[in-house]
Amino acid sequence: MKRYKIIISGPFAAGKTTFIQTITEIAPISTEAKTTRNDESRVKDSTTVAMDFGRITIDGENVLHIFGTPGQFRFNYMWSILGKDALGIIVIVDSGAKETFDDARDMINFFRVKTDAPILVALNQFDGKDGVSKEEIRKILNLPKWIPVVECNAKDKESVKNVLLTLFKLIMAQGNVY
Amino acid sequence: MLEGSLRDFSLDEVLQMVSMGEKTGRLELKGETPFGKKEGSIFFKNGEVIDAQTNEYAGEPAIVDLLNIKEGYFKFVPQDVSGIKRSVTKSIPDLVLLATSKLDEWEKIKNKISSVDSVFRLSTEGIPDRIHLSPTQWKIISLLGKGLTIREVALKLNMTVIDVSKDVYGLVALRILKEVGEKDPDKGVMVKRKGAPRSFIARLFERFKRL
Repeated sequence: MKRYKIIISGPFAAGKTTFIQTITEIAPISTEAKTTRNDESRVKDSTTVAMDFGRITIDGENVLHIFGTPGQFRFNYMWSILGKDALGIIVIVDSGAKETFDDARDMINFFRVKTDAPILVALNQFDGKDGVSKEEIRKILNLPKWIPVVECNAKDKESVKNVLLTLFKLIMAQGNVY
Repeated sequence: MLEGSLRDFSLDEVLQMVSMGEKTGRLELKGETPFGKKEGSIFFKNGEVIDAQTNEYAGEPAIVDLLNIKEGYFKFVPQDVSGIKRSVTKSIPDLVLLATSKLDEWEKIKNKISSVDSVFRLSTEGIPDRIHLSPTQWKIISLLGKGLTIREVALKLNMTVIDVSKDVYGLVALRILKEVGEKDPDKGVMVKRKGAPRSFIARLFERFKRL
């Protein structure tokens, strides 16, 4: 069985674990721990500390692994480990969490330096939350032309599928395919 | 004659012995470096390095390669070196420092390039509108575009693999080059392919449409 992988990354509480849970065919494997820092525990009770894992069987010979990274910069050693040999990287950004945009920019720059895999920004729009538009986030994150932005709802399967299909098109155009 | 394994004596210790003893002769080294197998000689006169030779390089670049041997063998053979022209003027501590800094550079380069035996393809997707390239970078692009590895380009241009790798790192960051795999340096055939086959991506599309 040949295994290929894509990476779901993004700042703390952007919706990475939800994104994987929405699309994986197996019960997602998560490494959650209780949040201990005050700023983080106000947002959610637990956080990914190593990785999330989902899987999609493509056919009898190939499987796609979906790895989710921790969102905090202090876990960036996991970003390097997980990012190695990834076909593509999705950076999820919560459109309404302006305080995380700097982290998202750092994260994108980290992957731009550490890998040559295509990168896509998924602008997650949580229900009922005001957020920035695709054009605004492009300017805020100072994205180059080759990194597309796709709007999504991490809880909605069709929306998640659309993000992944866009990434696959990007891999065909920019990635390591032979 | 002094010989042994670099497991028993580190290269630093061997260099110190030759230097402190003010020896004259040839230090033969053979072993593994992060850039592949290396073999060559460093020539000493009264404990000072005067020249070095590998099958790829001479002088400082050869020393940088040889001083990065971590596992292997050494043999010091006393000999007359009066016929050898001095090409190296740096002290041993300076040469060790130079080799270490090259190794540090390589650690950074490894973020984007898997190996000195990597093969690349030219890419135009997502490159900036204006790019300034040096004549050396043009030569590197042209040779890599013909399917040569970093190691092979370095040999053709008489550069060190580190110096070619540094340029390639920049060209990969600019998205002009894309690594596609690695060649076996002995057989010259592709042994590792980076990424996925086009047919797999096509199957991905089909599978996800059905999800």
